[in-house]
Amino acid sequence: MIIEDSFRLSVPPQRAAEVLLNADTVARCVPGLREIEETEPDRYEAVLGLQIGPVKPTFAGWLQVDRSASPKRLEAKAEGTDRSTGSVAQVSFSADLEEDTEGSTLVQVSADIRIRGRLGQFGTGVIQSAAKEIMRQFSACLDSSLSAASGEEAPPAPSAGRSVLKIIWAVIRDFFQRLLNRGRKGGG
Amino acid sequence: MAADDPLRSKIVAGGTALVLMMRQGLVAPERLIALKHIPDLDGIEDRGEVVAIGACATVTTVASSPLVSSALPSLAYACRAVANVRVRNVATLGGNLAEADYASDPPAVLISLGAFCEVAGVEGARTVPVADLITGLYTTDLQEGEVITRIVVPKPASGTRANYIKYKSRSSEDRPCVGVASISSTSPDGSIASLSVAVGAVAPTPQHFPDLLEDAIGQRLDDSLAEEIAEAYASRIEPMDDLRGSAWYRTQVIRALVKRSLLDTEVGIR
Repeated sequence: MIIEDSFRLSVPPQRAAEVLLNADTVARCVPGLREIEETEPDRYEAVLGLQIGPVKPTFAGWLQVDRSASPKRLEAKAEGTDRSTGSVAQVSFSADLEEDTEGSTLVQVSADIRIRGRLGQFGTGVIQSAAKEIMRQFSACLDSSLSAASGEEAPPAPSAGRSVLKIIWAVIRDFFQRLLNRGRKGGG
Repeated sequence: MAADDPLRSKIVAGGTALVLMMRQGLVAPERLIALKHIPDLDGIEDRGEVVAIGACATVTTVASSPLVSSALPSLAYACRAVANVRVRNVATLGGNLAEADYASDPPAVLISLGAFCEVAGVEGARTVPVADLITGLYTTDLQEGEVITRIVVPKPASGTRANYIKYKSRSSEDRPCVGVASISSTSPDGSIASLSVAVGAVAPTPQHFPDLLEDAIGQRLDDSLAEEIAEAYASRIEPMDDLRGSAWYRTQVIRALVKRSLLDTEVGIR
């Protein structure tokens, strides 16, 4: 099923693309993200915990980013498995960035989501609503992240539980350290 | 117990929602905390200005209660419309609210009536308006270890008109595609004294917009006002797509049924 949504970032497209490609910032803003590790350039292994009422699937899998069309278009593919319900989710994202009013960017996201297994029983309506809520929290966090000057205290992560927040921070710090140690450009 | 290990225990009342999810392999709690044998949670009490419904009262009990039928006829009607008789005999009104399934009848009616929940938890007791209880898809304001104990519904004044329209787009025994609950009372001169409209089953939470109704107070509830309010609700609500209807379809139905609900309200209260 294809879900389309859009949000605005209060920076020009070039900067918006940098932010969206910055794993550190993005990881902090994805609600429920528990672990993320870059295994190859632009390929990550991650664990994402979701909650739809009493059902709490945890998807473990990979994410591959394609930045070849940046800053106009960013693409990514992901696949994850939730063992508790025996479900597999496959997602293809694309984000088209265009300059909106001066100095800001309209990000139009299209996500093709396929769910196999028991979670598929929830139906498209529920999955769409859950995906839109994740997108809403993500874009709000990203936008407020841009308002905070670089190097200052980061904005709070969307509601994911205190202990989960600690795990995210530990992993992000570790990730950032390794990034610096490699002497690679990026981060921030 | 539920507050100590929230991820492994689940509270169960009638079981019509939770057991179904367990059978579907979506949840696997290690422990179930059954409410059905806790005394005094299933009665319906006349408290003068309000009716207090025990959270473990079954939907059938509520639907067939003489007190609810006379004082809260739109609620009795909505409860009779839930699912089928086998489900109604087992499902509880408190469980229905706590599960917060969007495709459900009681929440919209309870919101139109201004109902609130009495909630008990480890940190003490509190009350939550039903309008604030359901916060998202299958998500409520209830914290870990909290349980709804009563649903308290203010009795509408004599002469108030109230109804509930359940629109099913598929079979006769099915969840609503759109549910509209409205209630209105008039002043001696025939103008609107109070008005409430809630639309359920179209979005993650029941849709209720007092601000769209403010200007109606003092006017006569006629065809053109009903149409205006219906259009306002249809424009404000962003419905979901699901197998009972697309978002576009729901918008058309919302527009038609809000108008119908406002104009066809039956006199039901004393």
